[in-house]
Amino acid sequence: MMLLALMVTMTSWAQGISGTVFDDQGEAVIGASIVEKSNPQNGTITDFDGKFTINVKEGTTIIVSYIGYVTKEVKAASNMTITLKEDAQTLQDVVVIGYGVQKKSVVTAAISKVNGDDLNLTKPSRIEDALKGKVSGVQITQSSGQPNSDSKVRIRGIGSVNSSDPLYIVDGMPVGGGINYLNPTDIESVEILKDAASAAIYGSRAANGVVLVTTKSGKAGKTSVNYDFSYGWQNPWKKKAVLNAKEYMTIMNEAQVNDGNAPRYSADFINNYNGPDTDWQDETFNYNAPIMQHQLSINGGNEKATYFLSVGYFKQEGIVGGNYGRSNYERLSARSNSTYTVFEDTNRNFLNKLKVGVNIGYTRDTSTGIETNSEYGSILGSAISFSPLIAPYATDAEAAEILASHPNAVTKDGRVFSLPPSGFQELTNPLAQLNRPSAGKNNSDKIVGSFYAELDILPGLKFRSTYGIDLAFWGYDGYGYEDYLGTMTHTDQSWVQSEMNRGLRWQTENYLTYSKTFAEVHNLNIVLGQSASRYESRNLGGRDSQLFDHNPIHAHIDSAIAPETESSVWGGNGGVTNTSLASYFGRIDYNYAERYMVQFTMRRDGSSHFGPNHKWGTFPSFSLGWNVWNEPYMQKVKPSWWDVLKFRFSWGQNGNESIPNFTYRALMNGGQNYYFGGSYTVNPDPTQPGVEAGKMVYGTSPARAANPDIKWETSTQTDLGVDMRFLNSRLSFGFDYYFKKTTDMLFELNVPTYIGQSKPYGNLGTMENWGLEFEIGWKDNIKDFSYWFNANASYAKNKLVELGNASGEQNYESAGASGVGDYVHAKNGEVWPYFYGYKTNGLFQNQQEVDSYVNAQGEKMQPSAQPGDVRFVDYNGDGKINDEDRTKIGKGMPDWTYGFSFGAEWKGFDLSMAWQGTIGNDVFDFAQRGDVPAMNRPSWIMDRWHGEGTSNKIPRMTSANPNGNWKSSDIYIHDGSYLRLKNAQLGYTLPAKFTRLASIQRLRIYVAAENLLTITGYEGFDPELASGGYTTLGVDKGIYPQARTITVGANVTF
Amino acid sequence: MKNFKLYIAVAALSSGMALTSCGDSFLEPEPTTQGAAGAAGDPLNINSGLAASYQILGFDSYANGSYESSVYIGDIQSDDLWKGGGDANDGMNGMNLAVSMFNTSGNLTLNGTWNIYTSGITRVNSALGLVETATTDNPAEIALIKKYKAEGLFLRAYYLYMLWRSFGSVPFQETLFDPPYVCRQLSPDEVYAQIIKDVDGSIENFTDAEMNTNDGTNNGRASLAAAYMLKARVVMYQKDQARYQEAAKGLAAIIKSGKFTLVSDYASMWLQEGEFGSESIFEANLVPGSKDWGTAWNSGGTNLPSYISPNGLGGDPGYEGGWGFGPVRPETYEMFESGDQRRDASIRDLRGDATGGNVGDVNKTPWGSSYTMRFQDTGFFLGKYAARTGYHKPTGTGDLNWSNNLRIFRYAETLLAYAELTLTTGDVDGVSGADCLNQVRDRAFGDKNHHVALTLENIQKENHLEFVGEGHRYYDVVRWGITNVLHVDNVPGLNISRDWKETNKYVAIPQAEIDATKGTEFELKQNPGY
Repeated sequence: MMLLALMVTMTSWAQGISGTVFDDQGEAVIGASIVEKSNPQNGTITDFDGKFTINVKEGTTIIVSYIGYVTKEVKAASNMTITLKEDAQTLQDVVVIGYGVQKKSVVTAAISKVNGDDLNLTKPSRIEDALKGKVSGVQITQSSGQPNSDSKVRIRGIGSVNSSDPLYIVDGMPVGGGINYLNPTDIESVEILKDAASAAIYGSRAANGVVLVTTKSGKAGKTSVNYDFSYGWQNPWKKKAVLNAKEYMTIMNEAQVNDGNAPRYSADFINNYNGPDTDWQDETFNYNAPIMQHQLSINGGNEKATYFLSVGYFKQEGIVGGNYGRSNYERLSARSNSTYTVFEDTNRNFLNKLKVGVNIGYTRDTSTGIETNSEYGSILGSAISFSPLIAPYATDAEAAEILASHPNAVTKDGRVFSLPPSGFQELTNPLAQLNRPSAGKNNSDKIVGSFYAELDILPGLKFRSTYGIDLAFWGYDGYGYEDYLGTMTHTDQSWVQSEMNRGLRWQTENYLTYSKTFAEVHNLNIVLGQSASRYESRNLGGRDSQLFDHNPIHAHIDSAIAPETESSVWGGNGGVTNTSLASYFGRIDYNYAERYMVQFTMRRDGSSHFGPNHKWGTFPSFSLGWNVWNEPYMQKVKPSWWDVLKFRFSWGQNGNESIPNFTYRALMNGGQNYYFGGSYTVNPDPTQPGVEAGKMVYGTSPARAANPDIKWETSTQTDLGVDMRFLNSRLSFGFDYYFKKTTDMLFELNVPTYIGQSKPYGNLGTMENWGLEFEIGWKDNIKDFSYWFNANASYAKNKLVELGNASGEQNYESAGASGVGDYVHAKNGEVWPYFYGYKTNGLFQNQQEVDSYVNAQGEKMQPSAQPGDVRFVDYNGDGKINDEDRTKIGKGMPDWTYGFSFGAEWKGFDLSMAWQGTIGNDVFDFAQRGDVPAMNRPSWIMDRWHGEGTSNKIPRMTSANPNGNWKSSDIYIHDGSYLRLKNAQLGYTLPAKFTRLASIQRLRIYVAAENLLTITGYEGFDPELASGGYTTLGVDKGIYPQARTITVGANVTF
Repeated sequence: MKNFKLYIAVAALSSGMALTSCGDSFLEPEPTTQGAAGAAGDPLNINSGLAASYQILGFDSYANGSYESSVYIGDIQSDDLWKGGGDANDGMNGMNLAVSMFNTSGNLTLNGTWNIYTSGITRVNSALGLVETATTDNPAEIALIKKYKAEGLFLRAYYLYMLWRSFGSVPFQETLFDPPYVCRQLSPDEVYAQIIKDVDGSIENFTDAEMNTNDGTNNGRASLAAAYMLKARVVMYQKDQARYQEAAKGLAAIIKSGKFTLVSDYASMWLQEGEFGSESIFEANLVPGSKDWGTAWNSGGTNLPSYISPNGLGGDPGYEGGWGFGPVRPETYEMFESGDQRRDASIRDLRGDATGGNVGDVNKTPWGSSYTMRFQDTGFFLGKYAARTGYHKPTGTGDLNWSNNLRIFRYAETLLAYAELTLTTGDVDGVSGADCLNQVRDRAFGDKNHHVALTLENIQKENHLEFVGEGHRYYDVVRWGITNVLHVDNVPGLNISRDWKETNKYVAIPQAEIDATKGTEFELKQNPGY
């Protein structure tokens, strides 16, 4: 594709026509080709100032072309100026596929592409976030609003009960731990391989789709320097409505009275109450939390070498705890991508060119984080459940009392934070939590690089060899001094902890590609190669106690003075010497005049995850395509406004090997030790160790039961697609239908627990996903006004066909202490996973309703219920209300995910908006803890039943709760559908003629807003919830919400 | 020159390809933290297998994430304790309540007990498997392996007993599991027969010299005395009169050996210094460790002291607060005669200004300590395993890592069980049953003025007084058939009412286990009445 391959003979420079070529930004185009139309042998290229001279007569037609620009034919004139228009179409017409690129017009697989420019519009901290709503078939749910929190990325549904994460390949190198290390502005494009046919080239790792990231490369020509800067302010976009002091007292009293106890607060006290009425959310949120970034990139090169260099800095403070250094993220990244033509000989056509290149990126980040979604005393979880009657700080009298019994109570500037009243369990004063004398910081250094060499062997035949590394160092340093926040939350001895980890993945690949067109219509492309990779890791950590003073500067592991026996170390290589993958792959692409396309792909992988019985697996695929309007006989019927009509079909198999190591081997677990001889005596003096008179005997017992026949999961996918373009390609439309079936799903066999060792794994389960994907785009301009619109929508339907156990059911999430019980479950034939609980049928309004709720035998179904209690549905109709009546009450996975965006430009002004949303997902609002009766409640509890007819939805207040009103049921379920204005941006590019005066080619300033508007019926902090494992998708325990961010920024090109 | 460079490049690329072609050895990693199964037995690995088997003893209170201390669970089913805790459902989402009300179901039952002790059996089976494969000619090693075998059989019998008394019918086999990973469920009588077989095997393999292993280096290991004790307890629970003579003979052997004596200061037995004392026949050696909320099966101490201590306790020197489970019923406190030193050692009297008030209120004792009242508060708390200051390290998760050893068999039980057996067998080997009963009373009162006659009623009473808070009472009540004492009328504020039926002898078998065997050769059957 390189222009430079088009070497033309240069003739006389002495006379002729000279001129200059500019692009539509007014920049000189270097290396543009100028040829005489009637005599293509006569030509030249533009120099570094865009100037050329060609030996033709005035008025001769010359052709001016440059890659990425629309070719122009002009009549030669002296001192002419030619402006080339950027050809957006061409830039987008190539997609990256594994081990190569392909023209979009002949793609037969389901591949979505997002250009780096589209991603960077939003200045995201992470790419996954920017991809949200941009492509069909990909569901991205951000875990929480904590800086650098990850996202759950699911390509075409949930493929497996095991890892459903896609495979990430950056410049050919598979990277572990996601792609958050990448500086989004370094990205040229992201391709998502959605169907089996496109992903099959990655074999045993591709069952959940592949995300291919290509970083930017240098362009031959004049050096261009880009600088971006932005600064933003983040705020919570909503607070969760909870009870204020008076409402709280009313509700607490009501619970007491309903349980037959005396009210806790007298009516007088409530009426005349003028004590604290703390809004804990106000106290906790970090308003106007800053977010900022700087990006500098340099890009240039000549015909022999190109380079792209960049450095980036990103810093974000979290909206919860960021101002206390507890939820922060900072990233420094640098990248160098370069290519060199080492050798080139145009005099022969074999072994005539050798190109080498290196893409290497380094990222250093540090982060701090807090618990984001927990009912057990997370900061925000405490803020919504802590008593409003408590002031943040204790009064002087209280403070003296607190300090007398708890000298380590948390203080700030000499003021003592209030302690929780009794009965709050793990819940403590959220401000005290933020001010604890403790800290913990994560650090990470990561280098991902790939080195390659490419040799032209014969025309069309190339050999490429690559070596890549993903070397990551990460760790943690933390300390804490003695503190006291409550009976269940206190630190009695200072501690310090450090951890260091190192992981290295290397990969080497060698492959041949052959690309040739025969007789102008037979286009053939073949890839054949080999790949090997290995991952090794090691870690070392330690923890010690008793720091020698209270100065955090000294809070390092070598500053602890506890006796040796009080310290602990851990480490190793993660239980395995390495994990390896060896592979052979091949692909044949053929198309006949871009009319009929066919592609075969095959990969054979050997994986260290499997035993000798199933070490190797083969993953085949094929796809077919038909460009209808390219048929000569169709030209008669083809409407002139209809440019492209392409049908695609593909079928293939991929694997999933992300399962634990050694499930095929019978091993022994160690460390199950026991002490003999003498009892252990704890020494109450913390400076002295306890007395271990006994001797430890190292204990071993059988580890997980082995299954030597274990193998990878296989997903088989069929895809049917249509691509259309209309009206000179201004309107585009794409549609895909897929059916994906995962078989041999790896599962812990549901053998009885009484076997006394961990249950064996087996290939048992089956999962099905099918879906529809729509993409539509429009792009046009009316004179100076150009605008575009893109929209996509995806429907996904998941079904767990077979869990592989006898019962066909499995429970995933349970909350014992809170009285909720099991609440996330799976069952054959249902979506995986779903919210689980009782169906309810309103409330008992009076005793008569309780008495008349009877079964066929006339026995009361809920004998301990009282008026105001929940009426549970006898779902299985056995005349009893018991655990067997629990069923599916909702699901966290949406039916539809969609996004739409539009933008417009006019005379330097640009405006864009990106919306994104979901339909059909539920939220399980975990707003109650049965074991903490005194916790604050959401405001909707005011609508509770408190007399006949007052409510038929929210049960009466009770702590004794004989009816179990708050065991998991559909009263926890809320509609989680939402539509969010993910990003809105208004920019202005200053006219080049002014900026040039300051040597600036281009200067754009903008203001942007993220999450400006969210339309949802859900009353919690955020309807987007995916913190924790996938089984907690949609479970709200007081989630750390995503921030609403207002940003200003500037892009400068020199 | 140009060509020369080119050839170097080609050579470099091809060698790159050659280096990376690889066979299956590339794909065979080794585990770095686990050994391979299937080694031949030798004293070292048998001892390792035994250590893992003993470790199960330390899992009593929290392994499996379940709060099922055998002490607490036993006694909330008896007439000594209420359930307590934060509210009615606190304690494994209503499981504690269901157990205390004889109201378990397949989904709300003693899952922890089931999982912990079946694991124990598998661990013992693995260790005993190593004993079978051991080949040594060294007489010292042979003797050692014989002792290990005795210990292993004792542990298997003890774990089976723990399952048997709760579940009755237990799936059991003596070997490790192969596909399809199920085995036959024994009937309660078959389980009993297996326990007797194992405990007899244990007795047979112990030497007389191993009557008492509290020698400083073997503390915590099972002994001949422990095996005799287990046999007596099991035989008496089964009411297998045909074996009373053997059982009594075993206990008589313990008594006559003179290796054990009653500790005169009853309260001191429950302190750290009292562990592995002269009265201790078998106890679980608990050492604070890395056990944490998310790592329930790690080695570590016990949770019991936190579980049963008053919530938010302050101003009570020597004691720490806990979670307020298992408040002692006033009747239990009041059954002690004055002068019985066991009352204050067994029960802490923290009655104060607000006892019996609202949940969440603070109760202050006359001497100025205070605690937060929780569900079913009575003002009385268990004393033997009370949370004592300095009994867990200042680091780690203290609530799960108390160092209190769990006393499983005490010599006092030897004396009382022997006395009870002699009601049927008469004195055996010249040991006086009446004297045994009165030894226990003498120690309790510190004098010889409180002797009682050797009657079943007196023995029942004495057992009740002696073992408050040790998890004995319920099983004693059941075997004596005096289950009318378990009846509780619905008392306002307590939210409990219950009655005991014969089918309540066993709790429900976990439904998940039944489900997991559906369609196999050995489907688990639920206990009658559930």
